[in-house]
Amino acid sequence: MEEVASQVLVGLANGVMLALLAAGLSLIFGQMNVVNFAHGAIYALGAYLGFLMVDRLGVFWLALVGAPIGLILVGIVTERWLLRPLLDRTGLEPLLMTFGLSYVITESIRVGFGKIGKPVDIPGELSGTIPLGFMDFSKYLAVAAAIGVVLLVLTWLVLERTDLGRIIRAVAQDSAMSMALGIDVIHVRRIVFCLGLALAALAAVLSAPLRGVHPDMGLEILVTVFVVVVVGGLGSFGGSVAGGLLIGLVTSLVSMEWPQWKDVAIFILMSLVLLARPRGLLGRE
Amino acid sequence: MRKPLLLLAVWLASLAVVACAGEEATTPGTGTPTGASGQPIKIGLVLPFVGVYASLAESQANAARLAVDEINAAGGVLGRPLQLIIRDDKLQTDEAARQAQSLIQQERVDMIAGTIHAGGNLAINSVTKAAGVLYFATSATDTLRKERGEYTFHTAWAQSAAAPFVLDWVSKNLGRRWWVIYPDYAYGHEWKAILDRTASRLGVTIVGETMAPLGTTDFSSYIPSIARANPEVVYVFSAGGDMVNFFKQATAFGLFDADTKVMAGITDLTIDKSAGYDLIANTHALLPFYWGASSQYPSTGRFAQAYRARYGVPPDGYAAIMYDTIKVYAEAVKKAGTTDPSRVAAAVPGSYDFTEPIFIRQCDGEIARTMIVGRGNTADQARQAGDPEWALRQVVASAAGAESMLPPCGQ
Repeated sequence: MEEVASQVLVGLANGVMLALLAAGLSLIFGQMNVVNFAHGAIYALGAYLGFLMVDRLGVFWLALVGAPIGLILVGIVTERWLLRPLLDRTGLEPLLMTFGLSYVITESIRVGFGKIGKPVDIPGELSGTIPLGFMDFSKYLAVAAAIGVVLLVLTWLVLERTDLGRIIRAVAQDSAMSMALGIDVIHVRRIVFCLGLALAALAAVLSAPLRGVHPDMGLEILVTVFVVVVVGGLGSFGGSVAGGLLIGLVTSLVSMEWPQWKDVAIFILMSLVLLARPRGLLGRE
Repeated sequence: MRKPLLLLAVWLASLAVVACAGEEATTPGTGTPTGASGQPIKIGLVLPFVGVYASLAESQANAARLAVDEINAAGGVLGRPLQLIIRDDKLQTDEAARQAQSLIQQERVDMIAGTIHAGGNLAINSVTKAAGVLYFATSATDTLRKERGEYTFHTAWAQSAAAPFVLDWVSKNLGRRWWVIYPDYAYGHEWKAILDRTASRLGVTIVGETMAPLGTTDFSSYIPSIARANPEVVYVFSAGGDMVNFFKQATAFGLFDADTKVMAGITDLTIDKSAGYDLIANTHALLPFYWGASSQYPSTGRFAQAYRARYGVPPDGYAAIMYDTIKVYAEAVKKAGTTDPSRVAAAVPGSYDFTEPIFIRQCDGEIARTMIVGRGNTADQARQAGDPEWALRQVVASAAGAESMLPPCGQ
């Protein structure tokens, strides 16, 4: 029982990071109808921005603020000059644009920072462990997961309890009608795109002290994040959170006994969910 | 609409630049040979300048340039200069075969060396075998031995040669209750087979093991089980970035605070550098070459100094492998008095000491490299050692490469 409890804790903590990434991807899809293939590369870019700030300024917590701001600026440029011109076209152009963008970002990181990964230290005040009796839990991961939960709750509050959130949901439901009602859809899309990128940056910076940063990190995690949004339901914020936690949990529990199968297990889960609920656990019908 | 198109063009242009950056290919060699005249002896390098091993490929190309320039400055071989022709196999098996083919047919090279992935080694080997050209494989693999042609040699380490020394050392010095983490592919499975055979003889109890998929970035879900088993040694065979991630997460969960010692299956300078002092401090690792082992092996000091003077960083293990390869080839040509492959191949086996003692044997072209156990330094220890940036480890045990390390011929 204690074994399962430790695996569950670790799994949930990792799931929160996945949820942050998946929520951004899902929100962007809801607004723009584009699966952002560059989301992984954006995550890597956020991680490297974070690394740069930790490296130069020596304070981890500044990176947690600075990296999202950096990516919001990237988001403004990308949305205005690369995505908006393509959004009105039918077909695959926006998707291909994000696909290409992901390679441009990844290769630029390689050129700028080298092909070898970089270490990011755990902030000194958070090294060490919290004794829980049945296990020693990483103090850093506990705090990172708590920050992640706060961010998810804040995002949820914005979406559910504010005028902006209502507008975002309206645009997601019917952008033409929203426009007819006088909503500046383009502006809303830009806000959501940047919000998605900021969440990716936060997930990246929070994960960096445990996983380091390397150029391919984004392409690697993107596959898992796709699984999360498919399981949770593409376009649904709650689905992304549920999917992230579920995938984190399954990965952790499976790796307790059958580590070789942990990557396969999430795809099996995805297949089962698709068969039972083709739109994902919380996807809109 | 014009501006976005312009911007797109800029993005695309930058993509093209990035793509071209991978194309190290077909630069004909290094500076003009001095002191040697006559037809150059052509050496073809096939290396993966794209992908995970790109930095190692660059180390090997740099080491080859250094070796060639040193040899040419000393008058070349048989009065002829060496010429390098470097090709990029893009970490792809078929591309490795294609580049080897082109080096043989178009460039008429006398020898091919490279690449850093086992599939590519096998592919090049089948090309050189058919063409009757000398081939030196420069990546760590145990699979080439069964397929090798009579002119094929292996100059990187193989785990079967390293195992007896390192397993014995770990069991005697770190402890006998082990938790083992293997990467789930050929390399990890080969180590598991070796450990399953030898554990009981060494008096080692394997209290648990993890087969982690290659490219695992998150080990945190394995850590609770390891902590509960309370092993004396956590032996990690995962490579490169995977291992660094494991170190990070294990440290964060306090796994290494208690009496648990860490042994890394294999490490190299670039891996340690990317991990940083905080993570490698007090870990132990097997190194098939360490630039700082100059008090044990004077040749290491000479090579490291020359390499560092030219490139600004000390050489990693892969650089040493390529430097050895070029120097061994040059020696063998000198000894044979010709570039005729069958006579050069007959002259290759023997003991050498260019970067550290090595031994190449006749029966299967395998190598015994020097094996070093290094303990990770703290940042302070590195400062005290006089090189805060690169004194990542200190040598605690080593065995010079010798014939006795190799498993019996034909096994």
